[in-house]
Amino acid sequence: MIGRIASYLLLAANLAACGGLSHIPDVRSEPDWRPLAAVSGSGGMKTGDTSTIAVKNTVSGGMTAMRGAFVAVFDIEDKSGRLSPSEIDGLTDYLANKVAEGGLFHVVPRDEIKKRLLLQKSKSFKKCYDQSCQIEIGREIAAQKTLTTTISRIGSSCVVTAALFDLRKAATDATASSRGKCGTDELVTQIENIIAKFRGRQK
Amino acid sequence: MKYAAILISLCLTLVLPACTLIDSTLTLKFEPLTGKISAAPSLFTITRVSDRRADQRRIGCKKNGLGSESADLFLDAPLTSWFSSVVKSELERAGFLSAKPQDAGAIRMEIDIIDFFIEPDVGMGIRVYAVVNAEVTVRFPDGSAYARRFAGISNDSAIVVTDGDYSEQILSAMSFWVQQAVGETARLISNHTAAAGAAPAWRTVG
Repeated sequence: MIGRIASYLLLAANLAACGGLSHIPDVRSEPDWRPLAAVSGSGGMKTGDTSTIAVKNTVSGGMTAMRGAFVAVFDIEDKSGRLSPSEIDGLTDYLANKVAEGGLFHVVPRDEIKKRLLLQKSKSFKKCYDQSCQIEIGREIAAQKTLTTTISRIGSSCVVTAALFDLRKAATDATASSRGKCGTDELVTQIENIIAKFRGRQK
Repeated sequence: MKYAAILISLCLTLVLPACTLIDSTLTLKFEPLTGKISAAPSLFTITRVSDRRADQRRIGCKKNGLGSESADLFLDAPLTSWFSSVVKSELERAGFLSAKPQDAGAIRMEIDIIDFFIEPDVGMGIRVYAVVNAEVTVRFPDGSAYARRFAGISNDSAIVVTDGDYSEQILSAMSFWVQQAVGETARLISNHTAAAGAAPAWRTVG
């Protein structure tokens, strides 16, 4: 009796197997070309429209043209000395996910950065916090931008600062900072504030 | 009846999807697709193809009868070189001329592969999905550059999925991607060239 019930359950489970896709994203082709190193309101060059070519190579401070750029998100530098390595790792992962959310940027997988760092410094692995190291690694992995984030303690509060560096222009695109308490939960909120500031500029 | 039910269950669980327990390495042969598009041949070179996928180890997965991942699909060549050769040959078929990277007059193309994956959806039946999502950057000799992301998704149903079905779906998704990417790149180059070398406006005569 038990065997029969078990076999029917197994049969039912097979027939009603859990469907669903976990690796196929709902992606669409972009409708137009995006001029790079050029920002002009509506942005893209429409197919068949040659008049928009005139806007090329103009520069402004908006973030429209940055959307979709490949960003290398480096480990958060904890100058406050309050965070454990696993907390830094978790916060960096969270930051990278927030950066990629909604297609704001493409984030170069962190494993790729780690691999390059290990290749470069196979004997003495040290954190790549200084800008020259990050630029070098960023270029090696063909990223378009790097995101440097620092947590510093000032008085009783902690300040999180982030700088987005354009590797092609060799200049900082945007910076954002947020001040708050030094607890891990508060730092998560500050990271969210920083991403909101970047997104705010994008609109 | 009890034994029949057990036998059918075992077949569904183990025997029918037995091949889903073994990893497969696919050989993808892309059939030429593009016809001649470019009237004025331009020199081009593919300077970089980067693999930006989160999981660069595999190009797909297999699933068992319960819908769980049971094995991986691999490509028999590095994805970046396979992708590069497909795009290069299709651009040549479209009428563009391949140049050396050091050729200053050539249009430079960069490709960033974001998604390239095959995944079956196992429910009452099996449907195999494949996605190719990659960004193309075109850099002109005058310094201007444009980027655009293209996506190709394909799916089809099957009763029993073989490696051939996986290959067919990813090649189909790649075909959609190539059709868009090569066609739109050709139009971009054509428009850019026309604008750059445009003659003065027409004069009315008479």
